[in-house]
This record gives sequence, C-alpha cells and structure tokens, in this order.
Amino acid sequence: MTKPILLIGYGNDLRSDDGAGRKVADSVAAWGLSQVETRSLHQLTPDLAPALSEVDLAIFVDAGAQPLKQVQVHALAPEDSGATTTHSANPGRLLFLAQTLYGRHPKAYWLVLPAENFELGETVSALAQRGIDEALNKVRELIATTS
Amino acid sequence: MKQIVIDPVTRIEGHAKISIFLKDDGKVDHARFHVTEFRGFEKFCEGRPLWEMPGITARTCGICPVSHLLTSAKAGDAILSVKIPPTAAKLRRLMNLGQIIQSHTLSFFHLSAPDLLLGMDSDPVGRNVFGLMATDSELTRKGIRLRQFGQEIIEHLGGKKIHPSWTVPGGVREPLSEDSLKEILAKVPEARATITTALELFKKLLDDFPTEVASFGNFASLFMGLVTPDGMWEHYDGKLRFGDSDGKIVADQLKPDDYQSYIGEAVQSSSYLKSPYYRPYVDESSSEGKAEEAGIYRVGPLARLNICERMGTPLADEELREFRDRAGGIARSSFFYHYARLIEILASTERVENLLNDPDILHTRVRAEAGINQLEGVGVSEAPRGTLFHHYNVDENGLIEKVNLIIATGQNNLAMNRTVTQIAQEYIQSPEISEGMLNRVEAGIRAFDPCLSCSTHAVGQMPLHVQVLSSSGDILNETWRD
Repeated sequence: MTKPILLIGYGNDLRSDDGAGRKVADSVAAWGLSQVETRSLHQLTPDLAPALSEVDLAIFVDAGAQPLKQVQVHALAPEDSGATTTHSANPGRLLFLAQTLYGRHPKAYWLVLPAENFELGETVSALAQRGIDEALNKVRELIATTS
Repeated sequence: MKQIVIDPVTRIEGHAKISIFLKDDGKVDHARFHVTEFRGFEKFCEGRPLWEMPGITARTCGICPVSHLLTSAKAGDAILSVKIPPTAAKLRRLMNLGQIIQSHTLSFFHLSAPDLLLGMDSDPVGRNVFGLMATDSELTRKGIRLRQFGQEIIEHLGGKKIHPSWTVPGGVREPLSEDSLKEILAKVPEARATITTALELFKKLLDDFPTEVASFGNFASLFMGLVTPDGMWEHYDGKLRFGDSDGKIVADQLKPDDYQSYIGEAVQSSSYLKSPYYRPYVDESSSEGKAEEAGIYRVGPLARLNICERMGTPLADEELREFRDRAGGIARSSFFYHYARLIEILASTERVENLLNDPDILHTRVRAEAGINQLEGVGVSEAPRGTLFHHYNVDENGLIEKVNLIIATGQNNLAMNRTVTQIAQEYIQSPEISEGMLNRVEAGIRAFDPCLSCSTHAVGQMPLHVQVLSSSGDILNETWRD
C-alpha cells in the first residue's frame, strides 16, 4: 500500500551544499517511519508525477541557490504556466503534472535550505549543516500535522 | 564576419553555447558548439580507492549513472584481472538495458517529442512535456510509465533508481531475487506495447520533417560502436567497429584496451568538451587547425544501428530493416538518432525478457574476489548516448593515480559542430533570429541527446542567451529566453 507522505530531497551530493536536501532525505529514511516514503534524487523529473498523485502530503527539500540564513518553508500549489525545462521540473510544475495526468495532487511544501558552497565535495558547510538540522525539525512538525 | 551566439542551449543536460559565424553577406560561414562548464571530475578521483570509482563516477550525472557504474566496474575488473561470474555479467547487461530504456525514453518522450508533435515553430513556453501533456496526455502517461519500467529494473537490481552502488569490480554485490524477476517480467508487455506505439507514431511524423531530415546533421562520417564477434548489435561487451557512410567496415574487432592507438583527442580553446577523432584518418603532424575533422565519427544509437549487421532480436531486426529502407541504407541524417533510439528501446525490451527467462539469471555466485593484479585498466560499454571509456592507473594499493574518461557526448562533438553549421546554413539568412530557427539549431544538438553533465559535469540549466556579433566582436543583436 502507498505510504501517505512522500519526502523528496534533491540535489547533487558531490557538489557540497547542493546535496543538503538529499542528506535530509537520507536522515528521514533512517527514522524508519511507516507512513513516510523518502526519495533522494539528483534532480526532479516528470516521472515523479504518478507517485505524487498517490500521496496526501509531499515535502520537497532542496538547497537554496540564493544566500539564506535559515530554512524557508513554502506551501506549494500546482503551477499551470511559465517556462519549464523538462529535465528539472520545479515542484509546483510537478504538482500540476500530477493533477492533470492523474487527477490528483497532494498538499505540498517546499523546504529551501541555506547553502553557500557548491564546489566539488561530499561534505557540507556549517551553514548548510545547521539548515539540515533545522529542516529535520520542520519535517517532524509537518509529518505530525498530517499523521 | 558576424557571429550569432546561443548561450546556453535548453533541454539538454548541462550548459552549452552555440556560436554561429556569419559572413559579411549575412550568410552562415560556420558554427561551433561550446561547452563552457568545466568538469574537473578526473582530477577529483585521484587518490580515491579503485573500489569507490563506480560509485563516484556514477554521480557525474543523474540521467545515465548506470553507464559510468558499469564501465568503471569493467575497468576495475581489468585491474583485478578477473573474469566475472556469468550471472554477474548477465545482471550487468540487464541493468544496462534498463538504463537504455529509461534514458532513451526521457530523450524521446520528454525532450524531443514536444518539438516533433507540437512543431518547431510553436511557442517555446509550451513546447515541453507540459505542452505535450495538454496535446496528448495518454502518450505522456505512457512515456512516464515506460521510463519507470527502465528505472524499476535498475532499482530492483541496485536497490535504488539513481546512483546504485551495486556494480563493483569483480561483479555485482547482490543477485536478482525471484520476486524482482517476476515483477519486471510482468511489465514487459506494457513496455513493448508503448514503444511499438511510439515507433508507429514517429514513422508517421517522419514524413512531416523532410527539411529537418535533410539538414539536421546529414553528412558522411564514420560511425563507431561495440559489436559482437559476428557483427551483432552490442551494448555491454564485444569489440569496437568503425563503419563509414557507404556501409564499408573501416576497422573491426578493435580492442578497447588499445583505444589510444585509434582514437585521438583534440582540444578546442573555446570549449571544455574534447573532440575525439579517428586517428588513422588524421594527419596529426599538420599544424593546420581543424585537421581532426578528417577523423570525424559519430557514436550512439544512430552509429550502433549503422554499424551492426543485425539487432539480434526478432522485432528489432524487423524495425532495423525498415529503418534502413527509409534511410536508403546507412542513415546519414542525425535526425534519425530519434528513430534509432526507439528501435533500441524495443530491442532492449526483447533482451530484458530473454535475460529474465535465462535459467542462470537467479544464480547467487555474482562476484569474483581479487586484489590489485594490474596497475592499469580500461573499461568500455555502450552508454545510451554512445561508447563510454574509463581508463584508470592505480598504485599497488589500488589508489587512483590517473583517470581518463572518454564520454559519448565528446565523441559526437565534431559531428554536433557540423550539424549546427548545416542547420544554420539552412535556416539563417541574416542576423535576425526567429524562435523557430533557434529551436531547430537546438533540436539539431538535442538529436544527439548530449549529456553535458557527463562530459563536463555541468549542473542544472540556464535560460537561452543569443548574441549576434560582428567579425570584430561587437554585439550587433542580443536576446534572452527565460
């Protein structure tokens, strides 16, 4: 049976802070929650739409390209317009894809983490690590409100 | 001379720029495809243990990680001096077929179908998978399902869809389970039906693009890829064959280990993408620029179909015959990459089924254990986009001292330059740039399905930037596309 919550952490985990979202996904996976499915991905692609159409809550986690001091939480709605590149659809466009192709989209949030170093590397900066810790707390809150 | 710059190209993996040089009379002189993002991946690997290389190099890209995984493991096999267990080889083949299915499906259904179905001159805002969805939602759903099928094969074997660290020097970490076998096998008919539908659709569309077929990289060149000892289509093992546009086999059964004797690598000052060439055709003592163009060759689906004698499975062989009838023999037009890609998906579904019905496929002996027995090794396999080489030198402890990666997209670099020149000559008559022309130039590049993440390790995408420059470098015209 499909789990009701889907968390997608995405980014390049060999580009230092760019992999922060994936570290959040890996940590949440380690919690072993029965109601949460996690995915750690290089990028968002249109084939996520079917899975999104089957859950009640989706949480996207990404590193912010713009400098941030703390995690930003955005409530998402389907985006039905605007230019889109197909290799890396944004979360709102994926919700639109789920709604249009499969008739349903979940309640969704987008967590954007602070990041400052995108050079080749497998470790994250202190700033990004603080963001990961903060994001994990916010993920707990979001899961609690849905469970 | 004037220059038009398209920077970067959209809907390909990574960052690129196209410069179109105009003569003083406004007609196109030539064009160049530049990759402006530096990879640095080969340096990044130095000092890492050999056993980590499949996992590291797979992270070059999120679209074709399996290709790096397999090729890296094969280079590792060479350094360990092992012959991997037969079941491990079959499982690696199965994973590569899953990779070909998912990557080719992404290329056709998500990247190129919008151009083909919605039209090259349609509004770029809607000319993407979302626009396609509005026009043909059933086809979009089928494309998504087909890509999932390929990804699920990878996931069943590797434990996850992206960057599975399952293939290792000496074999693979885990055998295939019976449950996974049944699940994959049950989905083959749907995948087969979808690709058959897509092939029929493409063949109908082909007649609507006579100008594109004629001008999208339609030229004589060599083609290179792996074949079996009897010349059959190959994707994982075998040896290399070069064939020409007249169907003549130029060189055959070349050992991948000896690649440096027949492949040279030229460097352009304007691009981080290397330009490999066929060495026997190039006067390397020449001081003239562009000498490497005499050794131009293409790799990938078009090349693989052009050089092989047969696909080796009934449905794909039938399609290969029709492909050659439509192309008039060897397909010279790069527009036929799309067609070849679809036939390879069909062949892959047949081969997946055959492998899953192989009595050896569930055996549990899947890894040969050994230490460092050689200090140098070359691995080669057919990635979705073409032949991929990994060449490693290690020390006595197996730590990487030197890495050379020859990526499919790089090997098509000279051909992509020639393709862009040909399209620009067909569609550009002045510095004025129409949206349809821009997209045709990009579509010409997209036909190769270049993966610039692999070839340079670029990350993400950017809007389109177009510049028209005079011969002295002055910007005459400039526009951006978000």
